Formats: sequence, structure tokens, C-alpha cells
Amino acid sequence: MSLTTTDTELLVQFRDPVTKEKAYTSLIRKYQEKLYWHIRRMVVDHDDANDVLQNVFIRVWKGLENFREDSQLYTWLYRIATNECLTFLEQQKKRTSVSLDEEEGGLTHKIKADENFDANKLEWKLQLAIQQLPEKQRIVFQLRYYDEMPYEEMSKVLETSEGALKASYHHAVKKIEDYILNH
Amino acid sequence: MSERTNILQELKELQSSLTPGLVPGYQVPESFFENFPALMLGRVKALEAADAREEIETLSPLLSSISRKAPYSVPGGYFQELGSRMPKDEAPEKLPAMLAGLKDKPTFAVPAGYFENLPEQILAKANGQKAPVVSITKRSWFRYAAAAVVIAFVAIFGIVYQNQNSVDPETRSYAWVEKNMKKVSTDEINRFVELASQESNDLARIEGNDDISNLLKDVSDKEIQDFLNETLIGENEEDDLLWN
Repeated sequence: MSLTTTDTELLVQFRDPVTKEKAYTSLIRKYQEKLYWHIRRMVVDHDDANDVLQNVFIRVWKGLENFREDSQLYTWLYRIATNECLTFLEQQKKRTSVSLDEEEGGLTHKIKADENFDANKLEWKLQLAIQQLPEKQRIVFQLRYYDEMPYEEMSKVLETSEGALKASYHHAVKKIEDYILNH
Repeated sequence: MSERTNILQELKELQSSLTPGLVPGYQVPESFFENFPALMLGRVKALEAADAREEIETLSPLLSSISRKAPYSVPGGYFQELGSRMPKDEAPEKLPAMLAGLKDKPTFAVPAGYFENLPEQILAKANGQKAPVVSITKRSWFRYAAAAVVIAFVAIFGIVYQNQNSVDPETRSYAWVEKNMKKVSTDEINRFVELASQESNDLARIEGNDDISNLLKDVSDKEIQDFLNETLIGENEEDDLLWN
């Protein structure tokens, strides 16, 4: 799949030492919000999301030179962001001795601790429902539901077959619906 | 009664969970089977959806109606400032203000006009002077003295070591024998002992020879006894010399 014209231009500029920093800044501006929200929905807390996002862009700075262009640039960025989220959550788990599947207990707490949290509002119930999902299913749901990522691209991000992703997503939707209706 | 009726009757009497109508171990959610066909229809339609929007509308009208905007708050100006805050490379650490201020301040004094005149000075020297000759003999005497001391030390040490290892057989016979015996193998010693024992056997045969009897037939017993008395004392003295 070929890159968009803008992404191709960004890559060319990045690979030129003269325009490298300018290209990098443009790339950050273009993808920061998408990546931020993808990360934020995983880690909940803003400070944690900020740390992870910066780690992502540092990896981008170091690795973009060798980007093979066999997928979309944003697919590659999402893959880095997803891996950094998983690494972060794994480290948190080790620090707090909480299993990843129990992690939603800690994240649920963080959701409820948000200054704007309102248990009666549907969008907050949705966030709590999402945290009940297993970690990978959570990622699948968020990529499809919020980012409307094609399954073909998602397959490259998560290195899982499209069929498995579709099934996972459909199950996730059902679980979330049940949670919202019962809480 | 049919076979089937008999079996059912028997199961009822046993209160088996296999009996139709009795509640089995696993529970099925209420209305599960009633809703299942519609659920499957929704799923296959979602598989054929053109995009994510259509898919979620098919799967769950409830979720499709919820705002996609996450309810989390973000600090003001966060995205505007993110790009400028990003470290672009392994930049050197920021110096403390005090050190940063001192970095460009000169410390050592330089003669006035030094740098301006330096190129001409060097050029003039290069054109006007011959290249300096470094004498091969003009070397530090200290190095030669140090080398001589080392050589003397090695020589003295070698001589002393050699003297300690050499043994004079006349003045230190035991040490000499001990040192040289180490060079002789066990097999050679055993062979020497065997040869020595053979010689003594040969001597014993010689003593029993008839020739000796013939030589002594004209000698009286008294003369033989006097001879033996004289030699006995002498033998003892010689033994002392041998064993000492």
C-alpha cells in the first residue's frame, strides 16, 4: 500500500538532514492527537499518556530513517504506540504486583478519579465498560470504534489475522453493550 | 412399553440429569436461544459492512449513538506545545546556568596582537631558518645509566643463582651424590643391584675352587690361624674407613 502524498513528502524531508527537524515537527503535529487519544484510552491518566507519547516519538525519530514503507505511516505509528502502551502497562503491573487482566481494577479507579467523571453519563460508562475487556480486545475495540481503522491495517498493527480481529471486535461490542445496560 | 419409555422411567427413578425436563448442571441465559438468530444475522451483516460506522450501527445501535469524543480532559495548550517540547536527538545535557555563563569567558591572558602576527612569524621562521638537527648522541644519560643498572642486576642475580645450584663433589659429597642420583632412573638402579648380586655369587663359587685347596695344602693350621688373627684387626680398621 503506497503512502499518502503528504506522508511521502514528510519522509523525504525527514531523510534530508537540512529539513529533518522541520519534517519531524510536522509529523508530530499531524499525528499527535490521534496517537495521544489511542494511548490515553489505554492508560487513562494524562501524565502517563504524555510519557508514553513522548517515548513513541523518540522511537519515531530513531526509526523513521529505516521505515520500510510496506504499510501506511500511521499504521507504523500506531504499532509503536500500541507496543509502548503494552510495555508501560507491563511495567506498571510489575511495580504494583497487579496482573494485566486485573489492571482494569487500577485503571477503573483512575477513570473514577478523573475530575470530570460522571457515573450517570453514557460516555463515562463506556470508558468503564472498555476497561472490563481483556487487554488485547480493548485495543481492538478502540482502534475500530474510535479510530475506525480498517481490519487490514489493524492486522499489521497487532499482527493478528483479520478474521480473529473481527471476531474479537464483535465480542467486545456485545460485552460493552451488556455492561452499559446492566450498570 | 417401548424401550424408550422404560429407559426414561428408569432415569426418572434415578433422578438422573440426563432426564429431559430436569435442569442440567450448566445454565443458559434467559432468552438466549430466542435472540440468537437475530444476533447471528447482525454479525454477518456487520462482516459485510462498508466501513466501521456501518458496522457499529449494525452491531449495536446503542454504541453507535454514543459520542466518540472521549470524556477525558487535556491540559490547556498541550498539543500546541508538544512539538517544541520533544527532544529531537541525544542532545547534550543542558548546562547549569552558572557553567553556561562561564563557558565563553577567557581565563588565560594572551599577548596583545599575538594571533594577528602569528602567521607571519611562522612563515618567516620557515623561510629563514634551517631545520633544527637533533643529534643522535644527545640523549639522556639517565637512560643509559638505568639500563646499565638493570643489566648488572640481572647478571649478579644469575651468577648467584648458578652458584647456589652447583655442588662440589669433594667438599659436599653427600649433596653431590644426592643431586646426581636424581638423574639416575629406578630401572638403572635395579639393574645395578642385580649385577652386584651376581658378582657376589660368582665370588662365592671362586671360594669353593679346588685350586685354593692345593695352594694351602703345605701351610700348617697354626700359620693359617696366625694369618687370620693378623688380618682380622686390619679388616676391622678398613671396615671403619669404608663406612665412614
